[in-house]
Order: sequence, then C-alpha cells, then structure tokens
Amino acid sequence: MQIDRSLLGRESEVVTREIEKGAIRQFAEALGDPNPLYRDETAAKAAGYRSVIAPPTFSSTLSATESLLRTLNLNPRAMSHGEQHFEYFKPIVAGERINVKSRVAEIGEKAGASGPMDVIVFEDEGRNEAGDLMYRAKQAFIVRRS
Amino acid sequence: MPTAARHLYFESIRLNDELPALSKIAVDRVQMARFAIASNDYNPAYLDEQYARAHNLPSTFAPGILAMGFMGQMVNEWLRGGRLLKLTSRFVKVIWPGDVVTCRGRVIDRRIEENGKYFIDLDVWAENQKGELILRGQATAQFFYNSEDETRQRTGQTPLVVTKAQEEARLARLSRSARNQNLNPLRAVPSLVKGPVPASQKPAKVEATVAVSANRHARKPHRASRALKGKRMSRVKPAKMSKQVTRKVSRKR
Repeated sequence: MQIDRSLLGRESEVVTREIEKGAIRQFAEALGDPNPLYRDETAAKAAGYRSVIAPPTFSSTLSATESLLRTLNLNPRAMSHGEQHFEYFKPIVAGERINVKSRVAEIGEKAGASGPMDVIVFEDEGRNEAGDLMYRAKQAFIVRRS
Repeated sequence: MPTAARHLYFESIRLNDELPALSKIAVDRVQMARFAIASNDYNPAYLDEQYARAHNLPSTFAPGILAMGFMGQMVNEWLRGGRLLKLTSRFVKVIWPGDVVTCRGRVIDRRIEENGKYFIDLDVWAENQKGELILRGQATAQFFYNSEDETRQRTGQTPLVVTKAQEEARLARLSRSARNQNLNPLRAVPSLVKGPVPASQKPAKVEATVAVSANRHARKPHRASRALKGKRMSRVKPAKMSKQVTRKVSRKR
C-alpha cells in the first residue's frame, strides 16, 4: 500500500528533552568515542562551554519522529533508515532543555528491485528555551509496501 | 590520534587533503546493546537474534546511525578548533556483528564567504573489513582563517577578512614556491601571521602581509631547485571511493 500523500506536512507535538550529562556520556561510551568534551566538565569549561557537550549524532536520540509515527499509522518495522542529515546551529550542552518538533517533510517514491518503494522524510527541529534553532535533523526512510 | 597540531586553521587545509582514517574495534553485540540503550532505540532487529532469524536475516545488525556516530568522531578529531555545521550520511550497507568499520574523509572544497567566514566541505565514507562501502556522506565545518583570526574573534574583534582573490593569490604563490623548492607547499612559505601579535601592530588587512611575504620570496629564489622549475609537484592521489556495493538484505516476513 502506498503512503497516503496527505500526510505531507503533518507535525508532531512539541516534545521537551532534558539534556543529561549521564545520557551524553552513555552515548559517547556506546560509540567508543573518548572525546573529553563529552564526559569531562573541566575540559568542556576550558573549551568555553557551560558543561559537557553532545556528540554530533546525539540529536538523533532526541527525535520526536516516533511520536509522529504513531499518529500516522506507519509501521516502524516496515521502514529502513536510508539517509540521515544533521545541521548544527548551536552546540547541545548538558543541562539545557530542548523543544523538538518533527514533521513529514517529503513523501516520494523510489524504484526497488522488487517494485516501487515509498520514501518518507521526517524533519526534526530542536530549539532551546529562548526559541533559538539548535539543530535540524532529516531522516529518510524507505518503506516497504506490503 | 594523529593530532600533531593543537589547532587546525583554514589557511593550512588543502583541497584533496585526506583526513586521518579512523578504524574502530569490531562492532559486537554488547556494543549494539549499549548503543540501543544510549539511543533509546529498541528495534528487535538490532537486539534479538530469534527475531532476526524469524525475519530471514542472518543475524541481528547494527543501525546505520552507529557508523554515522563513528563518522562524527573521525571528523571531530580532525577539526581541532573548527566547528561542525553539517553531517550527512546515506546508509549503503548493513553493519553485522564482527564488522570492523573504518571511516575516511577528504577535503572537496574550501569556501570563503563575506566578512571573514571560512568553510571546508568534506566527502566522508565508511567501509567494512572487506572494503565494502557501508555509508557515504558529506560534512561541512567552519574554521578560523589562522591563529590571528582566532585571537581576534576570541577577544571580541572583527574577524580577519581574507578575500577570495587574496586567497587565490596566496595559493598560487604557495604552489609556485613549492614547485621551485619541491617542498610541501605548506612548509614552503611561513604562515601569513606568526603567533599572536598585539592588535596595535597587526596589519588591518592581510593584503599588506601578503605583499611582504611575496616580496621576500621574490628576493630569495631557491638556487638548488632551479632544475626542478616547472616540474609538477607530486600530489598525493586521493584514495578512490570504494565502489558502491549494495547487497540486498532479505527481510521477508
């Protein structure tokens, strides 16, 4: 079944994410990334940050796409992650609260070996409490038609 | 980590420079489980062998975003003072437990925008131990032009403005000088400004310094290398990007 084109532009609720030091450290350790800025407050402060900062792909853990998927009636198990884009405007620093909103940015079609497949692109925007844009993340999923 | 210099500046980055490759230890199921927890993604295809087999997969596999995290590590280890603005990845091939992921990157563009903004664009890609491409993408980072630019900006002054024309002239001079001396172009000419200089002694614009260093080199032709004049500098050939291999993973249900 093809993805309903009318879903284009659909938005999630705003989800507030608290950026925790422990969560950043756990993420960096899972990657095996030894960068002290992700775990050592002193090093982060020496580099000019208020506290430890998050690695570049950490914002994927803040995504509001999952809550959007539930309202769209799409099965996440039928989707495979094809592409990911991040744009960074401000560093994500521990202690912040980030408001994240996800929307359906594109719906398209792609030729696959066993027939056409749907492509759906979600775009997340994270803003700090002052409303400044911190990052934008786009994830493209290939959806199998069943 | 090959971080000889503490900081990396725009002036010393060349087109086609390769980033030091980052080879990670083999991805195993423990790392996959830790990453699932850390990223709050409990897709059973990453965690549950029985689920994977029941869906015609040879085993569980790791999410592509794990390798993109490795990519972020490689780029940030290279940046050293630059600021990452963009990172993109297309996930080409699945990562299986036991795979050794190696990330690579290459400078594909140096861009100067108005009012002293300096950007570097990179091609980035990752391969497994068989040399198969597992992801490819791009990254963009912003840099200080040189240490003077950094000092100025950190002390609240305006950025150092080097125009495209000035930069092109400097690069042309570097490659001429490198051809003459058969040296690494970056070592052939000292940097425009060495170390922090008190603001009062600093040239308002780089143009002045450029003229000085140009004259100095014009005065000192390298005798021994005259024979090499006109000979092209040997350049490091960028590693070819692995041929894209897309293996379909059967996931019938």
